[in-house]
Amino acid sequence: MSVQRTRARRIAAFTGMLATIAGLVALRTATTPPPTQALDSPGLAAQAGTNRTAAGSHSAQRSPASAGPPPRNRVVVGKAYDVSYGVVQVKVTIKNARITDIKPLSLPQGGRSSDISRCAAPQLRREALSAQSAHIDSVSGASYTSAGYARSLQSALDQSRR
Amino acid sequence: MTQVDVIATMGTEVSVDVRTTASREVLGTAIEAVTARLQGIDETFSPWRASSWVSRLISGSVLTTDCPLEVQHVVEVSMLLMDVTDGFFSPFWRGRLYDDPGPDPTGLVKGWAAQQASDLLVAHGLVDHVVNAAGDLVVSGQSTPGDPASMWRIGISDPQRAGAVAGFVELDQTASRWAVATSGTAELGIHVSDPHTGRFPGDIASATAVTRLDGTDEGAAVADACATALVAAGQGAHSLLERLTERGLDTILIDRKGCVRDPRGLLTRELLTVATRSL
Repeated sequence: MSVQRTRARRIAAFTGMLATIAGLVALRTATTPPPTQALDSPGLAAQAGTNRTAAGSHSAQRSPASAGPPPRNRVVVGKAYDVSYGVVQVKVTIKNARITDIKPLSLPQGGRSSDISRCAAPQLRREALSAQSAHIDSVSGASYTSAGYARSLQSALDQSRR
Repeated sequence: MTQVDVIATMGTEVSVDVRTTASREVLGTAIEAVTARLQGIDETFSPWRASSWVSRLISGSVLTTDCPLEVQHVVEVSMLLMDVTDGFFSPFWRGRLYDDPGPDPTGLVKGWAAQQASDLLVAHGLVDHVVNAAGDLVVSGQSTPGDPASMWRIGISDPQRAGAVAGFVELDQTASRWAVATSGTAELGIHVSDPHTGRFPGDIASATAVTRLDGTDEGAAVADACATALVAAGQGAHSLLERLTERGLDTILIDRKGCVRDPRGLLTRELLTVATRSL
C-alpha cells in the first residue's frame, strides 16, 4: 500500500512540523479587563452591529430621570432551528444595545436530550451573557445544542438590527 | 463589521464568522463555496452514510487504495497521528469495539474540514475570520481588521458546567492562522474510547490542543486528533501530554475533578461574571 511505503518519510516530516510549533502563544495574563470595563465594552451586541455608544451609561438604565437617551427595550425572538435532536429557539431582550436577558422558548425534548436540556438551559444563558462581558470571539468544545442555541441567538441579533 | 453564517452539515453545525469587510456578493459567493465544500466532505467522509467512501472503507468493501486521493491523504494523516500519539488516536478504534476491519479517519475530519473551509475563505480574500466546526476551530488574520494588536479570544468549554466556559486562550498575530480543538465530556458525555483496550476512560474531562497553521497543511487535524488522544489516554494522558509538549504541541487538560494542567499557561481563568447590572 502506498500509505505504508510513504509512512516513515511522512512521520519524519511530521515530527519536524510539530517541533516548529514550539513557543506558541505570546501569553498575556494581565489583559483581562475589570468587570466594570468589561460591562461597558462592546460585546456580542455591539459586534452584531447595534449601537455601541448607547451601551455606555448604566446609571441611565437604572434611573429613567437621569440625562441621556431613553432606554430602548426590545424583545426579539430568534428563528427556531432543528439541531437533529430537536428544535432550539431563544428569546433575547436587548436594552440600550446590550443583551440583558436570554430565554429558551424551545429546547430538545425526550430521552437523553431532555436531560441535557434541563441542566443546559440556565447555563447556556449564562454563557451567552458571559461571552458578551468577556468579548469572547468563539468557543472551543461546544457542539450540538449549543450550536443551535448560538444560531437562534444570532438570528435574534440580526433581527434587532432591522 | 461581522457576518456570521451557520452551515448545517456533517451532523452538526459549522459557524463561519467573517470579519473582513467585503461586499454582500463576495461574502455570498464565499459562503456558497464553503457550504458546497463541507457538504462534499460530509458525503465522502460520513460514517453515517452507508454510501460514503469512508463507510465502505470501514466495512472493508473497499481498500484505501481504491478511494479518491483526498480520502487516501486523510487516512494517511490519521495513521501518522496514530504514531505521534502512541496509538491513543487511532483510525482502527472501531476494530476493538465493533470488529470493523477498515480504518475510520473521521476522528480528525471536523478539524480538517474547518481548515479546508478557512482555506476557501482566504482564497476568496476574506482573510480575517473564525470557522467553528462544532467546537473545533480555525482562526485566521485579525479579530478586528486593521488592528495588528488585536487578539482572538477563544473560550474553552467547561466540562463541569455544560454550556459554560472554563476560561479562554488568546491567540495573537505571531501566526497568520491558528487551530484550537477541544475534546471531552462537556456536551456528549464520555464517548471517546481507548483504542488499545476499547474501554472509555473518564479521567480526562476535557483536552484542548492549540497549533499554529503557518506552513502546515494539516495543523487543525493535528489539534483535533491530539485532543481526542489525550482524552482516550485516560490516566496515561499526563505522560502523553509530556511527549506531545516535547514535540512542540500546546495543550490544556482538565480532569474529572476540575483540576487544570496547562504547561504553558495558555488558559486565563477569569471569573466570568454575568452582565446582570442592567437586568
